[in-house]
Amino acid sequence: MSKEKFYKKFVLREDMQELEQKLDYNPYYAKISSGLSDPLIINGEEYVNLAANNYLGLAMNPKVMEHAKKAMDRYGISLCGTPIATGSIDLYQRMQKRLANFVGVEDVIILPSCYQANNAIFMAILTAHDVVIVDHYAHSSLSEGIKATKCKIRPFKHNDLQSLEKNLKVSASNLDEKGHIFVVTESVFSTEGSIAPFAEMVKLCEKYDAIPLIDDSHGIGVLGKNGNGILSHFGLDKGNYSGIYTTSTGKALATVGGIIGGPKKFIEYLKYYCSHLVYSTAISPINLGALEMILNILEDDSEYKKISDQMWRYRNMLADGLKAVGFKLADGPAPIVSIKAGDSIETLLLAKAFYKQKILTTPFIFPSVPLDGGVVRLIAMTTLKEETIERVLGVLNEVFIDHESWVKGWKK
Amino acid sequence: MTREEITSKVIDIIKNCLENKNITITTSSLLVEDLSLDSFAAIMILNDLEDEFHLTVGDDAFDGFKNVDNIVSLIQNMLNEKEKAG
Repeated sequence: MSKEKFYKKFVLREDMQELEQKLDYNPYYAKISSGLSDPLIINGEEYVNLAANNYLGLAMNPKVMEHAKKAMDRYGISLCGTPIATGSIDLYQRMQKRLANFVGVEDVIILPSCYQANNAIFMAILTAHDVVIVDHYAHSSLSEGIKATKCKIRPFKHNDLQSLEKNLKVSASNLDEKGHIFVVTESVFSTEGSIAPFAEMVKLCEKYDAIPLIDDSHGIGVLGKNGNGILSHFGLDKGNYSGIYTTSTGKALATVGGIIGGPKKFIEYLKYYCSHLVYSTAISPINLGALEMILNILEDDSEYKKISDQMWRYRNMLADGLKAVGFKLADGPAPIVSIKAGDSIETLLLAKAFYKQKILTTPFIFPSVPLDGGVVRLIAMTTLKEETIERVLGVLNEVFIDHESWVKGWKK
Repeated sequence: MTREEITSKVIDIIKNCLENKNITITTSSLLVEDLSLDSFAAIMILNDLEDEFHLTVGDDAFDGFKNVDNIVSLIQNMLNEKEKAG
């Protein structure tokens, strides 16, 4: 095959380009020229940011930025080496201990992203003898990591304990003596804000001798006593969780990175046999410095309560306002507000209706969600000004009307 | 097992795996366009088919399949081969 033919295979589908032209809107890869400030600057214009996972508003926190600068002054921009070589600075090792203690596991490794962590863990430990029972709606990083191995995959229905147990029973009865059963899920599902019934799942794992693995990317900073995450939320953080834990530090923890946590000896093994860690340049000192101050803030009871209360307050104001004008919400209990929008076109049109009002949101369309299960996700970071939230609430009715009329027009 | 019996069991299994219980499933239902099957939903159905019919189907068995009838044919062929093999 010629080079020209090869590259022709990898172009965006024509109908997608046509769709963008017809909608006169593309929600992806917005050219943002500010940080996650209020307002957000897109193409020189002011927008409200309801799209970032900056739940606690710490991405531009002055104390965090100052601490990150100090780390940069001391250690430089990059460690230009993997953790096994030059990346395991004292700050890295200190953050390993603090993060492990914070989330409630014995030890952790820190990778450049949670996508990488979720790919890495399965590729490091799974064999063809193993069975992975995984929530149907698990994030791409988990599903792709699992699919990259030769294990048997058994998806179970989303957050459905009966479906999970049925799969555990079948797996346990067919397992060969070299195999293990893993149960994989997320704490908070990012498109709809539902929370996994993880305490019951851990009990089922114990019953069938399976190993639980949870990705806490949207739970850390948000759930648990001081935002300690899902293990704290369910009281599993007092040394009584022997499963595997992963999380992103790029959401509520407002930096960049991913963590794999678990029993000390297991993590010690991964330090030498997890390729994604051993062969990736270590996380930058700037991120580690920022993370250190972010944990200081979260561990300060009064400071965490203040920002957490604000996060929930904004979340509830937004959810109530949306419901009042007629939007249907996924209504999960997490600080994620997701509007059920319908098919891909209806979803993109809703994101466009918000964008017309200078509000940036995140639309999820097939294949990220089912064909008719599109959602527009809104996350109100705590650092939005009070008048910004009021302005958003003030235009919701107009967004609703625009959306309805555009959908009608499109269907004609 | 007749094709009708296989069809009925296949449709029950698919229905049980779908989150949306209001969808009407027929042999001509399209797997992606009508049933919104993603890769994990497809594997979930494959696993249930394996358990129900005592077959080893393989995770990529639906590759290139368009509708429910394709799945019914696959199962019927596999059951026939299994019967021949004794």
